[in-house]
Amino acid sequence: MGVEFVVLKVGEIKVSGLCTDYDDLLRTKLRPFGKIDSFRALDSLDFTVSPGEVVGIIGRNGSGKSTLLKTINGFLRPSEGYVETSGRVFLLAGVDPGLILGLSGRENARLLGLAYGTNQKAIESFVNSVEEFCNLKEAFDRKVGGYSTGMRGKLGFGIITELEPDILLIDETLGVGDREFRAKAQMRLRNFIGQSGTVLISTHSLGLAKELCTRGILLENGRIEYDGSIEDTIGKYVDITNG
Amino acid sequence: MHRRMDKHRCEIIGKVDAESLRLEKRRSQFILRNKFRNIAGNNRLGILWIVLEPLVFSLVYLFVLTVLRARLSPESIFVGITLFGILTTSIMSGIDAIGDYTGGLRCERIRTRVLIIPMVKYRIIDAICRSSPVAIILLFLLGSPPAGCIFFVLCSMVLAVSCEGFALNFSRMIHHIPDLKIVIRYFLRFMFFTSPVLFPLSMAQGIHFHANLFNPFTYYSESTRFVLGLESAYTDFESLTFSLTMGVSLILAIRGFYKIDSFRWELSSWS
Repeated sequence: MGVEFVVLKVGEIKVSGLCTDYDDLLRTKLRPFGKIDSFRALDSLDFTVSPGEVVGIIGRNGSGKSTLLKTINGFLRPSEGYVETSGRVFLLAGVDPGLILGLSGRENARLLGLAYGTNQKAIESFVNSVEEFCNLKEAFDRKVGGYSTGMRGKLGFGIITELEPDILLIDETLGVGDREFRAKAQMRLRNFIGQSGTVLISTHSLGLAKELCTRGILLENGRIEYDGSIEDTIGKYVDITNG
Repeated sequence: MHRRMDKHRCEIIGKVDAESLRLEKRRSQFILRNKFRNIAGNNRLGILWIVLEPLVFSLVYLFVLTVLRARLSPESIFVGITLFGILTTSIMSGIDAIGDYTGGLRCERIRTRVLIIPMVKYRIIDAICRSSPVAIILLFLLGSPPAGCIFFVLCSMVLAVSCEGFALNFSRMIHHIPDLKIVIRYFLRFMFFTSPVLFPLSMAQGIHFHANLFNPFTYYSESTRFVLGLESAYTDFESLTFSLTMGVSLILAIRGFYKIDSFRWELSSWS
């Protein structure tokens, strides 16, 4: 008897009984070749995200937020349960979507734009749009290897958010760059949300979560502590952190 | 695109549309070019170093063996060293293949086939870059037959792809026990002197000769030497040993490429 699949709508995420373990090789004097030591980062998560929903993933450091996003994106293998997604899923974690240090910002925007799915016809307008968003001026034509972390963040964020994923996963990335850039990044994110894209944001910025998200999931020790409206989720989180 | 991920696999459910297939092709090209960019790095001569490496090594060994007054054939040394260089780089690349499972695209998971295609293409281009200049020297400077030179280039391509596939079988084990990589490097150095690299197999005797009959490299180097009209043990090969050795090595090579998706998935949760 085969597994039956329910067809998901584009932008939908289904997580069922999800557990994710990190495996490590533990070497001891008695076992020089080591034994596998597993650490459970996510434990029995069940939830569904509807298309167009904006969900804030909230929790303390080490609660499993990044692991959850990586598992949904397919970068981590679930140990139990399953994840189903419909549509293209992008994870914006850190500041690097795969920048090639030996090439200029412009060349990176062009190559990565094509590799992430922009059409050949639309690539010039894509590059111009990234250039305008990043506002790196003449540095846009310099090698990325010479960029500061903030500049790389601007470029990476500019490239990825110029693309059109069906599901966007953001892991603490909105804090990169200067104040002006952060405001622009949030503006761009609002535009994406306005286009009914599904967004999952992992953040410690409760103000941002409250402003952008409609729903919140509170993670604690890899388990869902609360899943509901963003206001209530933030309230629960504040209660936990205040002891 | 409906994707389902569980413990066993990350799979796309339903048919992949034509647009996605075109994108995958573009990504394969992106990954392939990135591989060459990484090789070239900041070097002035870039990928020309790939071309120069077998020539330089062959000349060094030619010099050493001339000093030692060994009975040598320059053609034989060129063939042996170039083929063994291809074997070494392919094996080292194969055992490291899972190191970067994103293909340089860190925001979206790409299918494993998108990684395998540039891997195979890169290996073939690398083999051509290493063997073609040597083939040209064999043809124009050392007067080797053209058919033999073409066979040498083809043989190096098959050797490269099969060695990478063979080494992929060990990639998971090496991820668990990184020390094995050093052991393999030493083993390859040992094999350099025991395999018919610097000498044709016909110069080996006894157990050395018989042990090499179970070494797949022997069949690549000796058949090339034979087609080039050089001294070789090609006519002494037994068909059963040949079929067994090459059959096992090819099955392992195919298995390596077949298993890379599950290895990649399994190792994604290794910290």
